[in-house]
Amino acid sequence: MPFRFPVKFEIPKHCYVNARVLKDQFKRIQYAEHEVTRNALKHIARNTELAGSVRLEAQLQLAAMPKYTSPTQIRDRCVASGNGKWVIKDFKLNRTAFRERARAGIIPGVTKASW
Amino acid sequence: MIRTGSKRLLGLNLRLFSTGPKLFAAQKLTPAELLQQKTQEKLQQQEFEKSLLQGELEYKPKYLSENAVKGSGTKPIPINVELLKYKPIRLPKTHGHKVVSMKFRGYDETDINIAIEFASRAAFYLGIPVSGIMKQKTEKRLYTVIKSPFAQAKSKENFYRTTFNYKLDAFDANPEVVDLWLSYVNKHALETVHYTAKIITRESANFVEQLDSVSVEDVKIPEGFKDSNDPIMSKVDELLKSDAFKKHMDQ
Repeated sequence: MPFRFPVKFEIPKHCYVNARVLKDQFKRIQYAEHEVTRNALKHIARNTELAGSVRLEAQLQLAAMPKYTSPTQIRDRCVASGNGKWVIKDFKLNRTAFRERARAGIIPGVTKASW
Repeated sequence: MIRTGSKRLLGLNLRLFSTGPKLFAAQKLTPAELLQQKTQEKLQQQEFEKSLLQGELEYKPKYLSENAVKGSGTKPIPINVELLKYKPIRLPKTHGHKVVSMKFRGYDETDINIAIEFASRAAFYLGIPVSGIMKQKTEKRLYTVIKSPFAQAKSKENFYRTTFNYKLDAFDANPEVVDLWLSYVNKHALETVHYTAKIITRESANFVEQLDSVSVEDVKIPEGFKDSNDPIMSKVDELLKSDAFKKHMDQ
């Protein structure tokens, strides 16, 4: 079976791993790698002091970059379950993973609320 | 009718019918006696503080607690460990100029208390007058999640995360001493507590005159986007010199 991603990368060790987590990890690594280039192209494309053709060229190059280098493709995923929905950003946990841990008293400072 | 002999009854009655200060319950002292008592207490306190600062303390471990704690082994608890039961001693302010305001933040209140007491004890031995331990507003952030792992979205469960905030102000210390204090506190910082220190510095009285004497040549405004350390701008330069952009630039 051919390798699924265009570039080889390290499997994350800090979290639960499944296919979707790997996909997201790949995008994160790619974005970090191409961040400087993307921002430089954006800077040229939006610089009104430069000629229109230069700006257009930059915009075209930016559009031609693979989609996996874009930050909009990155999605927060649960560290414990790999779930991509209902992730609470403060804990990087999905609602069920968070609830289990909060009820067990594992998360510092979090208790069951009552008022 | 209330008999003079039954003080207890009088106090009780007063407590029942009034919410004001318990004047009669307190020991009766003339103003002169009270003043004398207060001055004596103050003198004792001064003597005690002076003795703390004079030279090295003799090591004479004493049990402060009545019942000797059965700890590990036969060794007695050192006096400095037992002294942790007491509030940290504070030095009086000389001018009351605030120098540092430290903030302590964390989820565990006991840990913050340990951190803040450590800081104030260190301040005492460095001769820095500090304020008392001031509790700031406690933050509670609410998280409402669906109880069930699937469907039944109507039944929810509430959790909150409490973040405790404490503050400690330091006064009238030299910047060198303040640096020493802060670095010492930082060296022994607890992992569970988030420390922030706002250091206040003062300008001399003729600061305005100094500002007036500054000419335009003395002030160097940072040159925007011309910093060679900026990776994006160096990349921009590289891109504009590349073949794809060169033909457009020549036009």
